[in-house]
Amino acid sequence: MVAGLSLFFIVTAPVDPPPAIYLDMAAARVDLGRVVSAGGVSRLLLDSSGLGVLLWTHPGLEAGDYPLLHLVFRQPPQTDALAVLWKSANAGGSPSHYRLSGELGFERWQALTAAPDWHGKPGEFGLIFRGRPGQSVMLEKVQLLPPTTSNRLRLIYADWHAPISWDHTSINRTWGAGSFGALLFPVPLIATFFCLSLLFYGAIVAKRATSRFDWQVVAGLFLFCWLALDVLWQGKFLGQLGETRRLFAGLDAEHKLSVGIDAALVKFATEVKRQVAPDTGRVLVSSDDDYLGMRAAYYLYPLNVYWQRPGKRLPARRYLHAGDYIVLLTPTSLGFEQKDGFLENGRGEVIPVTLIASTAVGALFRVI
Amino acid sequence: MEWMNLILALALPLLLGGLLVDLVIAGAVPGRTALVWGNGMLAGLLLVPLLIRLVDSVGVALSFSTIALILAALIVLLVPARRWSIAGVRGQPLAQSADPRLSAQQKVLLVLLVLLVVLRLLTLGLELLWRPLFPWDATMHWATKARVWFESRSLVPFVENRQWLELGGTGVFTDHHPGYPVTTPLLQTWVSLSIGRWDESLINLPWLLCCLGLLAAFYGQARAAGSTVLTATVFTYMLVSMPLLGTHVALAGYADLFQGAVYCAAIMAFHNWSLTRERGQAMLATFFALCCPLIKNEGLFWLLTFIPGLIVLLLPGRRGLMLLAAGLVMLAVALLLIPLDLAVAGHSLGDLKLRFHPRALAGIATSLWVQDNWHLLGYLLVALPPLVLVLRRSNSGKLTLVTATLLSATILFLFLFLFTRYSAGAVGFTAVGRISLHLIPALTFFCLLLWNGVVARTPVPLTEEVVAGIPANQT
Repeated sequence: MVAGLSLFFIVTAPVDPPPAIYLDMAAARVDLGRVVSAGGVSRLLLDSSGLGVLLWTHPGLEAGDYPLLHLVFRQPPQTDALAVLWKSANAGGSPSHYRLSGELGFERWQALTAAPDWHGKPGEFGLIFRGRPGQSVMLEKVQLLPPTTSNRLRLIYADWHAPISWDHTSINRTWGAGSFGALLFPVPLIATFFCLSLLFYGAIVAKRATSRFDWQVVAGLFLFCWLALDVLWQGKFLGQLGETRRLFAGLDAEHKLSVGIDAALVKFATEVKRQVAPDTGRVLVSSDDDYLGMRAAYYLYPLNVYWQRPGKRLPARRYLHAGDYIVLLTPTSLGFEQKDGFLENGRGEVIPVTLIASTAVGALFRVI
Repeated sequence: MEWMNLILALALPLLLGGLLVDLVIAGAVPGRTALVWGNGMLAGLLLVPLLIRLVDSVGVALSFSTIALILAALIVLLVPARRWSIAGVRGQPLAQSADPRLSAQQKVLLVLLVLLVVLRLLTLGLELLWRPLFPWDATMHWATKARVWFESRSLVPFVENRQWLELGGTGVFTDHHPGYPVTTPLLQTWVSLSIGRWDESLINLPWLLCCLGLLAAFYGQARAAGSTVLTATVFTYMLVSMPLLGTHVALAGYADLFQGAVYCAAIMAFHNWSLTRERGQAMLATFFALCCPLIKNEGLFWLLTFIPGLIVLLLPGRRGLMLLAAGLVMLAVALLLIPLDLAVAGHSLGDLKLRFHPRALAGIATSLWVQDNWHLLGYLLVALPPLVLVLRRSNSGKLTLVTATLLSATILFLFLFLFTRYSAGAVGFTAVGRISLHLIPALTFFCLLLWNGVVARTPVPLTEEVVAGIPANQT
């Protein structure tokens, strides 16, 4: 097995891998926060909103050549979150980011292949830290590493041990590796190990006259393999549990929502509920983004909410009555003519409305 | 007070279900305690929503005290009922399994596995308690109903978007799937009623109870099916350790875990009834099978999978096979004849777009053998059945019923993803894992039965320990 894996790595290793890229703190552009150097050590101080952003420009960078990120800290940072940020030249200049889940220690190996958008030519690469205002991060080394044999082994290790990071696909499948494009997935590898172990055991039984086949040995080998996979998953799950605890433990139901992923949406929905009379109002929700539309509708219950998937359009005008409320969430392709007080419904009709509230998250209208 | 009510809300279904199952299960069954309280937990989680529906249907406003009082009264009635109803309902007890003494190493393994089960349940429970409702469908069409029913203290109807518009929303609500079965949201409503407020974490506690109930029922039925303590523990551990099952507890809110637990409970009781013809197991199998459609629309199809099992039972041999073949032909003819817009369990033939979708095959294979959804269960499922056939174990005939039922379920599963528009759920992994969860607990039980078959006639090496255990006149 080991020989086979070694052969696989040697054969598939790139003949002429590009050199590692060292990203120097001194060369970084500081977009948020500020860098203070003292005694040969640079530290990033987060700004008044608790953010710090370091950016490096590297025009020749090919994402496919650098699947691994290595960070070294002088002290484990106590920040709330760390994300990598990159701006790809072939994605219209719009930035992509990927949040690193789990606790940060003195160093962190991160498979960048875990980020779905890590491809193409990211001309700019950076790190976003979020924490308390004024908090310091002592970053010693940032490296982007090519897929050499040793780096690929590190990549697999990092991938297999990366804490679970819940997203909306987690309920549908578990890859077993942190990265969708992992070099090796644990289940087939462990299954192969089990099959080879069985062959080895069979050879021993066949060769030694004193040995006899025992199903308990087979069961033991299988259970060992199962346990290996399970210990791996439990460890990854504990990483996510730590994150969940840090975010939500000790908070009451209301506060949990105010720090969760939908915090802005919850705040907006609370404001809408304050404006809408519970017994009289029907609330129609629309957004070009299905997640935002669906989630906003959910937070608006127990009001009598209408949201249809896909939720880009509003119902035909004949279904809308004076006194109905309309919630439009950003992004939306429905136009509002403020001067005349008309709202398009996406069906070529206009609805007379009054704007009641407007925020960056969305706007609330009442049909007149 | 809130915590007291919450504890009552969790304990009352367990007590009601446990006492009911206790009435019908024979006393001399290995693993009986786990069997009774595990199945009781699952039964209780199904009975409470039924009771809420009953209370609402007679026009009484939903309140925790009303429903809890009814539950408590039923429990009080059941306690004395245990004495006189036992003889009338119980059938033949299941055979005692030969349970060899555990070696020191096996005891260590047993303790390790129990600790791992406890660790998993503890960590899943903490994640569930800390995290507010998270997954997509949970907030799109499950908890929406619970929220409205809790606030309005009645089961206000949910209708399709269009109907809601036509009615002007008067007296009705809408969400993305208003026609989905109400059991799951009613469990969330029940917890909310108990604490008197909407709590996005605590409403998920029934998922933890469901997992606990499934595990206890699994262990109990495994023991009742003749497994040793060690084998039953190993497979119970394997079940709880499967990552996607754990994820459905940690990220509670979907109905798939309940569907898998209830179908598994029906299959386990069905199998053990087929061995002993104990009426209690038959009652459990019937109850859980009939409850399958109360959880998800797919439950109707899982309920239908018991028909081939019953055919095999009633018409053994060639006649049964001929009837099954005739049934398949009739099904094919029906598919050709029935109107495309006729909806059954929420689906019509027109919607299904029947044709072969080859890309889904890779999705199903990846889900079973590459992704870590079920650890190594996918490999076990392909290795054990041929092994049992090759070894020609004498007890493999005892698995005919459960094999026919689960084979039907597997064929339905494959049909769904390979021949209907739901293939997209396998190609993009958006549904194949979740729908697998409906069958995985039952298939794990099947693997346990197959494993029992593999080791059934394995000659035990005559070690000193074995010899010491044989009475003197037999050596």
